[in-house]
Amino acid sequence: MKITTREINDILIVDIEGEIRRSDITDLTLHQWIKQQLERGKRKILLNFEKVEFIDSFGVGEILASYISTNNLGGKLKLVRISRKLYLIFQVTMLTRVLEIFDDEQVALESFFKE
Amino acid sequence: MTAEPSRLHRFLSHLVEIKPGEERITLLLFFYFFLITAAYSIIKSLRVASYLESLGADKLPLAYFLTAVSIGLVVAVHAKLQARLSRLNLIILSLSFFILTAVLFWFLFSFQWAWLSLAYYVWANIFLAVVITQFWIVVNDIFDPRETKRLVGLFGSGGILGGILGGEATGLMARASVDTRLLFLACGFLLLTIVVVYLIADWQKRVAKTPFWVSTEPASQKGKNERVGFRDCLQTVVRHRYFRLLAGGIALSLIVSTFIDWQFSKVVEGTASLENRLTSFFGHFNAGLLVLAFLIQIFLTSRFVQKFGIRFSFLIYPSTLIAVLTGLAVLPASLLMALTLKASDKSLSYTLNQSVRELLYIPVSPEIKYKAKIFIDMFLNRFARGLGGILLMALLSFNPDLRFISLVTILLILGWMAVNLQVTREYATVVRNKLKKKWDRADKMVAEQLDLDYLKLAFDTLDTRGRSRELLAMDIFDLMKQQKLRPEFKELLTSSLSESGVSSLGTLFEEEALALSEWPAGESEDLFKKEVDEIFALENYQGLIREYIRRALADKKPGKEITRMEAAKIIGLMKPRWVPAEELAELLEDESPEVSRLAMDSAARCGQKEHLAVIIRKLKNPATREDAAAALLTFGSKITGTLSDYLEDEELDLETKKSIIDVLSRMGTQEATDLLALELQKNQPELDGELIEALDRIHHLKPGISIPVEISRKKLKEEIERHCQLLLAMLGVRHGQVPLEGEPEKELARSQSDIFKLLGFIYPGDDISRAWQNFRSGTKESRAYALELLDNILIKSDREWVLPLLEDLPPSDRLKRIRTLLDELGKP
Repeated sequence: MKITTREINDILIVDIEGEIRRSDITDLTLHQWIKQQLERGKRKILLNFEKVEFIDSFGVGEILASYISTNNLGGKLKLVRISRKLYLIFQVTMLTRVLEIFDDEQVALESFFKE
Repeated sequence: MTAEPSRLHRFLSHLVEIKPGEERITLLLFFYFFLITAAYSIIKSLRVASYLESLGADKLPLAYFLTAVSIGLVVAVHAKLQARLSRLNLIILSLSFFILTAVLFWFLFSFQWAWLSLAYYVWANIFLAVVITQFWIVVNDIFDPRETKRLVGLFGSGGILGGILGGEATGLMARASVDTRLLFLACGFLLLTIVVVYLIADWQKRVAKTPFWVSTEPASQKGKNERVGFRDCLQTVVRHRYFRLLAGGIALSLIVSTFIDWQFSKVVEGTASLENRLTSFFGHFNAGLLVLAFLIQIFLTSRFVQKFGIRFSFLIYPSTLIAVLTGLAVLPASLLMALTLKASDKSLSYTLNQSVRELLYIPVSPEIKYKAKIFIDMFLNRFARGLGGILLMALLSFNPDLRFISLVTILLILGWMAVNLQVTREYATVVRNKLKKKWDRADKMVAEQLDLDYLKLAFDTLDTRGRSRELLAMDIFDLMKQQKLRPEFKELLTSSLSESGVSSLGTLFEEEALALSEWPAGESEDLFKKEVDEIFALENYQGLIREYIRRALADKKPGKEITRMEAAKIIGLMKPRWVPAEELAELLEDESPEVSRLAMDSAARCGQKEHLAVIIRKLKNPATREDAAAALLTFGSKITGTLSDYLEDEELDLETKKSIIDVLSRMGTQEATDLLALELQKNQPELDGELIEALDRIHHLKPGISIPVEISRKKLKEEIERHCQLLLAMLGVRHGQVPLEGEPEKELARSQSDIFKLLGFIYPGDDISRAWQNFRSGTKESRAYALELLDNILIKSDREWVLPLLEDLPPSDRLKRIRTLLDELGKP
């Protein structure tokens, strides 16, 4: 998993590339990385899944833990551009009830300002 | 860089706790109050003199009656104007009206019509009710409760000083018993008031604190045709418990004041030494009283309210009266006692009591506050005085002695104190409602909305790349066994099969034609599970599986991971029929996190505690941490003791300890909570953050679980001390001393968050959450209300520790406060 970031206004866009699974973790897990950003004061985080091929149960745990940590501090963590296949799995497992998922980055960014 | 405080600021800060930038508005309010009370003192002296000279004291009841009726009309008119005009226009219009009518009265007085003094009497009372109420409305517009508490001593003293100087000016300048020319002096004061009000409006425009100063009020923006009048104001009071209590308390205080006036007059009347000197005696006494009130207001009121809070301050006035009245009831009546009674009444009523009373309005929503305020301050005020007089007359018809009246007054005061207590309790609720809850803990929502076990199993089942059909079949069987093979999941797998684009998911099924539709469902599902279970129970089958597992363990070549995964998975499915402990232990140690995950899950399902050590060790590795935690949670509360032993192990690494704390918090049992609280009691700064977070999580998710208050308070004290040290170090950095290592701002933010979490274990969690959320991410106003809520719900010692850390203070003041606090905390 490779992470690069962009920042638009005060929204941190996290472009993730690769897979989020237990067999592929680097020194820092996604949740640990997000916690670092929260400590730096970031509160609006958009995870761009355009280049994420697959996530396993470990990856889901990481996304949920990141979501919980962000929301517990009054922040917002949203997802954008996830694959159709992943979206279907998210739907079946009811993750779409909890996570805000967008097709379009611009719409996702605007949603932060509407709140 | 902080600008050096001005000379004016330095001077004013000797009197009250004033912040840079507040000098101008505080002084403007001081002069506003000063000018209107000075004008009123002149108008009042003419009111009494002209009435007594023209109509005599016997006709005073008529004046009282007409005043009450007129004030009712004024409330109605004022409410209408208030809804239609901006605050600035309303005040300017009112002041202009009083200036013009004062000149008109001066002109009409020359005709010496006897009944004119009656009209003047009523007009003077209306003047007082309107201008004083408007002044306090302006204070409500401008300040939040924290600012009012700090500054009311200063601007409130303007009113008392205006009373003293207005009275003295009347005495010095009056050339006849009814010198109507003094009305021009009053008009002069009112003209100056207009200037001051314009300056306040200018300040308002710049800080844009209340836009309705220059446009209309928020309430009126809903609809200009909304009917606003006396009835509407009355209904606002009747509909809201808070206003009912406030009105009840004020009415009782005014009735008590009427009773005290009578008792005082009775004692003075019977004092032989004062015969023929009554007028001069009262003159000196009243002047002395005003000076005393001024000193109390400017030096004590703000300090007192800030130090002791609203509740205690609101009880001081009635308690003092009870103490003096008890003396009057028990001891022989004396002039000294009567003077003490009167002095206590007047000096505390105009100062501490009025300041607290006005503070109580501030957090109320403007939509209802101003309607209620004009009803209570203008109408009820007069009405209660009249009611007090009627009650007193009724009592006096029984010819009671002074002692009896004192006892009745004490009873009334006790009722008044009970109401005051209720009001201050409600005040905390009003402040709480002012604070919007901005977010809820997300873990609670996630736990409510999602089945995490299903979620994980579903994702792993769908992760088919490089997996064997046996492993997939076992995952599906696992879901079926746990009653989690849901129709929508089956549908997803089936639709995936038919989608050519979803190759990774479909490949296995396409090759092996393992159509989901062929999996048993309904009644045949139970039969299927039973059949599989019977196979698991066969000794021959178990022998074969053992052999298979051994072969899998022997071959650790690359690409053979999947065989070990199958081995690890089947053990969990076969429990409790057969558990190959040795093989499971080996699988747990497997280097592959996938094998390790399945082995930990199987070990947990089998409930074999001998594997706990390996699983706990896996908490250290980020790749296996969450799976190890999940496995430990499957063991359940029976392993709490083991986890406790690990936490006490000094050799154990920090990461594993932190993960154990997380597991205990997810267990969320009382036993786990007690264990975490005991750990918190120990001096382990490196674990404190995790322990507090873990307890906070339990506190929010399991409201029935209790966290020992003594431990929380002890830790709170320690955390405050740490916070002070961090602040001192940070302020030291700014003052060019040795810089701090690490990231002090982050540490400070973390420490502040921990302080609030600890407070949440002692006080209602919802209140503390609201305070924290608004303090951290609210506006200046919501931060102030967050502090005000804490001020009202925390006990004195906690309040004195916590508030100095959170108040927005200039660095030098903060430094001073922190040092004092550290000294206090250092005391045993």
